[in-house]
Amino acid sequence: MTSSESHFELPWAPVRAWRLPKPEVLKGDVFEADEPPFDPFPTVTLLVKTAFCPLAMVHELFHGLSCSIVDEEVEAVARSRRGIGKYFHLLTALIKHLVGEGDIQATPSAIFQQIEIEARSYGLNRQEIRDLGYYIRPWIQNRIIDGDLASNKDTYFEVQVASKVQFRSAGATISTYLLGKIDELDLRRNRIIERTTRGEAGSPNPPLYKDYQIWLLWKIISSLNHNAIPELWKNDYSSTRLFVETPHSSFEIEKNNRVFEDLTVWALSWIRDVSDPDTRGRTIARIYQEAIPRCRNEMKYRMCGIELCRFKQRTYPTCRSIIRSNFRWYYSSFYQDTMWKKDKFYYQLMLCSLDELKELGILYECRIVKGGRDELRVSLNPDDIEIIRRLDPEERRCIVLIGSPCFGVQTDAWITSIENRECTLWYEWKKMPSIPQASILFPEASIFRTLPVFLNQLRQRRLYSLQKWGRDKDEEAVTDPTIQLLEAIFGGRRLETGGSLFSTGLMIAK
Amino acid sequence: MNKRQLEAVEVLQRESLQQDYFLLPIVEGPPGTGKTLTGAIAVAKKLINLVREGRESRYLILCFTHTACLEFKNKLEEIGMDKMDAVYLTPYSKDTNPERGIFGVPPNLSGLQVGVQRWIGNSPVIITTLLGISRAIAAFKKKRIYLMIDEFSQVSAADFFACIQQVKDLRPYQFSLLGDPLQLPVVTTQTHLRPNICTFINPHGKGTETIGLKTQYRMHKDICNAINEMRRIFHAFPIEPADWVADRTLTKLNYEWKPPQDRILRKILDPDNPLVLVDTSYLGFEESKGREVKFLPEAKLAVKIAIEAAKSYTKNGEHLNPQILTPYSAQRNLISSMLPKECGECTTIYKAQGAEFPMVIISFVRSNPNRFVGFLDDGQLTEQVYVGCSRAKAKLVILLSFDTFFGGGHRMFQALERTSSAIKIQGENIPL
Repeated sequence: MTSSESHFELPWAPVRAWRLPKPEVLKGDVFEADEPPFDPFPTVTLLVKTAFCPLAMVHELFHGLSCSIVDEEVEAVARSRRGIGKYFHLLTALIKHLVGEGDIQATPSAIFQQIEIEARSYGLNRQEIRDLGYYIRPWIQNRIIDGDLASNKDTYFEVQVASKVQFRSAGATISTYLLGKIDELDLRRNRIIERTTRGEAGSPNPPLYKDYQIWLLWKIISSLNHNAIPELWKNDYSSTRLFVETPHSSFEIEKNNRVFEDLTVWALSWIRDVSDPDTRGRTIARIYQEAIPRCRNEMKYRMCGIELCRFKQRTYPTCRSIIRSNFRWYYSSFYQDTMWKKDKFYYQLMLCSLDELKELGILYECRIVKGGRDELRVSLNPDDIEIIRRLDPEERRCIVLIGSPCFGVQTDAWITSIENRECTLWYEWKKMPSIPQASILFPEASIFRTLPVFLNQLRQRRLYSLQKWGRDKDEEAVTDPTIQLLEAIFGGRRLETGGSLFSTGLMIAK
Repeated sequence: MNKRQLEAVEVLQRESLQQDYFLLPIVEGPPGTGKTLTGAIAVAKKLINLVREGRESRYLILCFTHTACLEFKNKLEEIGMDKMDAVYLTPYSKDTNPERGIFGVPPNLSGLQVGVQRWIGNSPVIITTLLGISRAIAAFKKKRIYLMIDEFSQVSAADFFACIQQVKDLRPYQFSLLGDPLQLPVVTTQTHLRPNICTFINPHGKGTETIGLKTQYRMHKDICNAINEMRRIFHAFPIEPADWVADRTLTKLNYEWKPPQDRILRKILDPDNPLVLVDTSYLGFEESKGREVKFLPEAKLAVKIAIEAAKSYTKNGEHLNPQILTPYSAQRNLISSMLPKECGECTTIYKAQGAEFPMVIISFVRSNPNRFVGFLDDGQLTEQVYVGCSRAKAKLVILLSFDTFFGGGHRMFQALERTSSAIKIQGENIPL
């Protein structure tokens, strides 16, 4: 099956308008409570997941379960190597950079040796390094054969791009902001590359939905206003060539694909209906209703990485339906909280002026004084450095941005020390463009110290796992403290909280 | 220990699975009632009993903040537990101090030497935050545990259940909760996530009476009166000061007092006026910019009072260090920039939870013609007032605009206004 062969049916009517936050919301003048008065900020990954299966999108947003699309043929291998993709991306970029700079020779032995050193420095164990080798070895061999192992000065990795993009399908036109990350942007060859660990040797097609993913990224950069692109990256992106690179092959992707437009409007319609509390309930019900039979018919479950989606439900706790109805509110609450924090932050970056972002305490301009492998020293103006100095240690997590919020390289960072007007930041390696200007972003600037947004997903996942978990045997359930706690809180078991034990004679004070 | 504390210690040692019922002890300890001490004694006593019975078990203590974790560890050490027997796990490697039993470790303990891993896994007590629970799970390696959660007011029901999911394989012998439902709440944008685990259980009609600790060992009776006025709003039981703290003034805490020259400052700082409310309406209005709210003249006044207090009170030649609290970070920054180090410290009320100080000055900041006090009167966040006021042992000076706070019908502040033991300084122009 290829991405273009997907058949889909629109949910009710296709979405035509996307609700953006009003200025007072962006400026923080609206008390953040319950339902956000705007639609989510769509991302390329969310659109791809929705296009694959709307139920995967529901699991992602409400249950914190990330969907990895697994190619049928390499299913068994891929399932056992989850989490390696991050290091594959990191190390392929690093190797291309080091070869391009002439720091290592473009020979397999030199490169493998370097990879082992780097992988160990990231804390990977022997088994993980072996797993990484399963993908990275063929990738290196094929890049050497293609003569495409060295990056040049105009190659950038993990470039974050965002823009307002218009999609048309079956008479519906929708304009929405879209955010994505380009694995490799090569200005000299005017190409963008989407790199993946997926894909089998000899396969004639790119991995499922990878062509769609890179097409969406191209839509973003080709929709950007020329003035919004930083000088360093200005280019005619309408003629950019698109490539999907697997460990074994490289595929050039056709830009003019009507099906992708349709697919996007379809996916956006689902996301919009699921995000709106007025339509959420019936939309999710319909998604479940349609997804499971279709999943079986298309054998899609074999390509889906969400194990809990089809997890067996145990007999105990018996009060599971009450647990589910209570937890249901938590799932949507965590989602809405994430929208207030993360999606609103993206909208602020897109819709607020630089001065407004500074005023909101979200963005601080700085100048790079010294750049190291994983350390940056930056200088800020005296007022800003004073504000940063007064942050509590746990509030010093930030993002370093080089470029603009629409087009730039971003990396998570941590302020480790502040001296005079300079602060030192630790960050995970990324090839940073060699320009002195940068910005420090504080996405969760808040009057209260709230929990980081990624924890919402973790909590959703734990709750969903608890909701599904249980026991089948009566004798095990009776002696299991957690089952009995759930039965006591939600079911018919008697719960004592201690205060009345002495007065009722259930306990005698010593 | 008082009778209630002894009862709590007894209940905290029982296993949750009982023939006729499931026991989830909830110890409700208002400020200064010794809930952490009670929890620590229960832990120590149970561990001794387990050793006597030849059984092996572990305690997992979960707190919401790192400060609370350290406080629990200190309490265990105060009652005689070895530093190395109560291991505190933090995410920050720089905090590692093996001699104190503190280890900064990654979530799954990866990269740690086997010996250190074994040491942590074998310690009878592990203390960590709710978010850091995976560290403890990795250390315990499926050994059965007793689970105690401190500061439950900040633990939402959702967080509690997420935590339960994590410990289910450790088959806890007992789950227990310590806290004060009126203290700092769960901070969230979402109504459904706001109820803490204790208030979640009660509306379900599931919880029986909690174990309420009613005697407090911190505050002078005048300050305690104000706290009880606030507790009345929530229909919570009143607390009473233990005899030896009821009349505890700064001079009874062995501070020597040299009254300042200025008449008003003298009245404010008089040790025999433990609770003083100072009207700042005359200072004008707050400044608000984006999310930042600050009130410069009130900040200056807070600093002036702190400096005068430091000068007036000495103990063994050392100056008193008053603690300034404020609900707003911008105000904290402003005060910190003006306050000499030797004259006290300033922090937010949020950060002060769990701490106690001989003298507290609170700057409530809001002053505006609309009598709008923002989150200080939000139904879920009024606890800032309650927590701030209950940090003081012997002297509490509250700076607030009477026009804004008392005139606006804000319940928690009306409770302060109603407190008969409070000295009110109004219509006085204190030179800044």
